[in-house]
Amino acid sequence: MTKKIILESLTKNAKQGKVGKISVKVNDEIKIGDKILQVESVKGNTIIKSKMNGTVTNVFVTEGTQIKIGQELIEIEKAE
Amino acid sequence: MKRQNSSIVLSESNDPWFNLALEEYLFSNIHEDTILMYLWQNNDTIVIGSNQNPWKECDLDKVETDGVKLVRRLSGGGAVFHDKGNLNFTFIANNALYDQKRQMKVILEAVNSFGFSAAFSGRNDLLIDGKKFSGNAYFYGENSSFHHGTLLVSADLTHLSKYLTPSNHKIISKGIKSVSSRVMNLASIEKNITIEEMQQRLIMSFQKEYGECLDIKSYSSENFSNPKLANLYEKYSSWQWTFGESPSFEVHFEKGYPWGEFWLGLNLVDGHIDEVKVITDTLVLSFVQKLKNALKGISYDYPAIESSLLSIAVTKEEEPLFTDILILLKKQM
Repeated sequence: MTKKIILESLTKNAKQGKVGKISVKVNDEIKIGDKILQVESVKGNTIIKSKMNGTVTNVFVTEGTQIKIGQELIEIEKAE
Repeated sequence: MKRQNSSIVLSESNDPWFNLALEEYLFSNIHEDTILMYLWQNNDTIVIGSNQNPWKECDLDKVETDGVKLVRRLSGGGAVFHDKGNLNFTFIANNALYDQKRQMKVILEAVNSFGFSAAFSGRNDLLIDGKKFSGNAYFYGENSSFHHGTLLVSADLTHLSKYLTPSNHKIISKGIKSVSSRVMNLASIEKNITIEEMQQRLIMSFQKEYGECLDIKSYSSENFSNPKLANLYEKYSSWQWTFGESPSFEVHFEKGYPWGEFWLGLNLVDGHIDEVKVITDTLVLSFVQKLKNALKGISYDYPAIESSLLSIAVTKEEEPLFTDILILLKKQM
């Protein structure tokens, strides 16, 4: 089963940010707590971590682009 | 208002790798009912933001020649220069206690106790008469966060433009770019102000806001016996962290030679050469594929590239071309 990870929240009042370092690519195995990517907003850096184990099947964002809350980040094929 | 404990930590080290390792260590171990203020100073150092590219942000030749250390931090924002005329502060707290307004108030009250009329600006800077003396940046974790910043008391401001001017302009980076500001030292207005006095005023102001702190801890490099801190030191001092964690970027080199026009484009991912493009009208065609093979996968670091290029078997015809490319890369990287 695949599951899309969305940008759920940033801190405080921020509704959008810029994609910083992306730490995963398609076919990477990923575990709970692994770093997916960073989002930067007004000098504040947030690390988005995985909440599941699985394999990355899609990366929807690129480094340096603006993203908003609710936007899809990556897709994971959930491990059984 | 939720009751909290206040805690103060001072670093006795001026090693930026130690000080940033200690910052992350304190952040990872913060108690949920504690607000902690950590004060620290670095020897000459460039500190880049978490999503920045060191090749794009600073003059790495000058940094290396002058023995300036370079390190990536966890928070966002742009590149800054630190020296012993600069005092750094960090507020660390559980997200329920973390309050940037209160933390800024601690800084402003300490600074203004010297008679200044400093104020907060929209870009998270602290200004006096439109000039910045303190830059602030943030790291937001799931359970706790930190807010840190600089306080320019008597730093050598000529070093900012010296080291923070990139030597290579042919880099296209997807990372966060720095925004340059008009900066000033507090000592340019009040010449008797010292780092030690500023530190005392911050300690007083912090306790006024958050209550008396019974225990002020000092850390020095003796604390290396702590394995978690030692691991973090290894991270902050590593090439992989400071260079390898850069967002992907492109760089190109070009030059005309007697043997032909030459253009080399590199795509860098995790600080390593992921893709090599060559455009040339040389007649020595075998050279192109050998160059591509020798560069792919190598870290974007001149000694590593040199070692890879020198290790391949080349013909007499190809040899002068490789020599020229090494000279070009050494000069322009």
